[in-house]
Amino acid sequence: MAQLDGKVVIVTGGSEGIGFGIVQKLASDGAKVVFCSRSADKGSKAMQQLGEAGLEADYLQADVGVREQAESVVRVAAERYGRIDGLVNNAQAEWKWVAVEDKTEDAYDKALSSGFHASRWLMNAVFPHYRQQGCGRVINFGSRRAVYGAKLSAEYNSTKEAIRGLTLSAAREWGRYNITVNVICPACESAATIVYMQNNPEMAARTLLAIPMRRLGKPVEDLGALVAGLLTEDARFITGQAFFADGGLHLKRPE
Amino acid sequence: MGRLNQRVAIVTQARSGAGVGAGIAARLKNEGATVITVDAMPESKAAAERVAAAALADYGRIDILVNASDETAAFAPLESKTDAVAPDAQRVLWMMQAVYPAMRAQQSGRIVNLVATLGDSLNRQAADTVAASEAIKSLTRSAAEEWGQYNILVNALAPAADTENFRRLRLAAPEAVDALIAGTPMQRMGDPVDDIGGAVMLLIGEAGRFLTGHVLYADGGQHLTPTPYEALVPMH
Repeated sequence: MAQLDGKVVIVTGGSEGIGFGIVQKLASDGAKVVFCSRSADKGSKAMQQLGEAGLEADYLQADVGVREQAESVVRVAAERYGRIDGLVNNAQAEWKWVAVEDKTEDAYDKALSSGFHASRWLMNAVFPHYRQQGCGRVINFGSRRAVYGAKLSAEYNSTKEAIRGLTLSAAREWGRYNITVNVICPACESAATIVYMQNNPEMAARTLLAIPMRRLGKPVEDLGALVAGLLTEDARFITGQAFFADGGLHLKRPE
Repeated sequence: MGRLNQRVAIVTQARSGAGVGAGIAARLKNEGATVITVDAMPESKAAAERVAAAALADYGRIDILVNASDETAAFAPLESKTDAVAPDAQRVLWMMQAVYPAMRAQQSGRIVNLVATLGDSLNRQAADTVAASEAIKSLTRSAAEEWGQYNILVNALAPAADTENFRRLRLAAPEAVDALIAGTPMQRMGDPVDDIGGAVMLLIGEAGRFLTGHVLYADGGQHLTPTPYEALVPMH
């Protein structure tokens, strides 16, 4: 019996990167995963990879930065499976390296809608299901960069700290319904970091030296495993926490 | 087949009875680990080394160290505190140092140090308990930073558990304790085996592979809430 057998879990931004790692891990641990992303192409590529690995999941094309689309993901998951056990709010638009005073309205709109507004729309949409079931888990995504105000990413930092604030408020208000709400701040490898590190070996060595565990996280084995664990009974009394899944990097401040 | 089969754990401060350490030790046993329990924290570095040496002699490895402590603060004003500051932290350091060579040789190890949930907000009349707790958090971060390269992961765990000590406190100040529970987001205390033991399972299992240097609260969100300590601690 796999540790997530029978659990229905929504993962946003699930067709690549950390999100896809989480989808793979949850599916291989027995969960019924409903994942979404903006790009149907990336979604079908992800579905193909899952199929090749013998894994099953449901993909929905949706831009969770648009309220109706975010809510539709929850509606479809609930209609298909009759319950929802977990929500993983991973989607987030990338930031551009720009000074605070030069950030555009559009940059803030994109960051906030894809990250903060999407997270709260989805949380509000699963809440009635969680209340009725008498249980539910929310896992949001924050950032160590944001906690310490790393340079040139103000729209991203502001969004991620808004998500952390939302996490704490929801943890306090929804605990009485046996709903836990936590946030993960990851340091994880991606296709982009792997290429960057191959091309910049000295910089890569310095980066890894700053991490107590001397490595970046892996989407499936590290981030996926943490999310899976937070969806099990082991984590039923843990709420309102920030998990720095970063091999100890949070002990140091970012540039 | 237990999730912790083949793994060897030391749990300190695991006196029999309904304490956090005993609950965690029971959970690890239920999950299949070989568990060596130590009734109290060691009183010397040599005593800590004897615990580790005995575990290695009997089982050949040490995968997990849980330094449990379940001391309810002896409330008294700062000017009356006489003990050395943070002796518990010193004992935790001895235990970590004692298991370090084995964990380094294995290139893997998990250490969980229990700390006080109310350490951040219950400073009045509990100076020694809180100082020890904060020192243990600091030692946890130092060990995480220095030993992460050997895949030794070190975290602190702050529980809100329904233990014998807690039940004694509840008898002494029932209204204050009821208010504390009512103010806790999940509106209950944690079971030492299922809730606090579960949090330990997260930290020592697959979910905790990339977590180190943390203070994890297994407290149903209690650390976010105001402590009704005026009612718990007599005013002077």
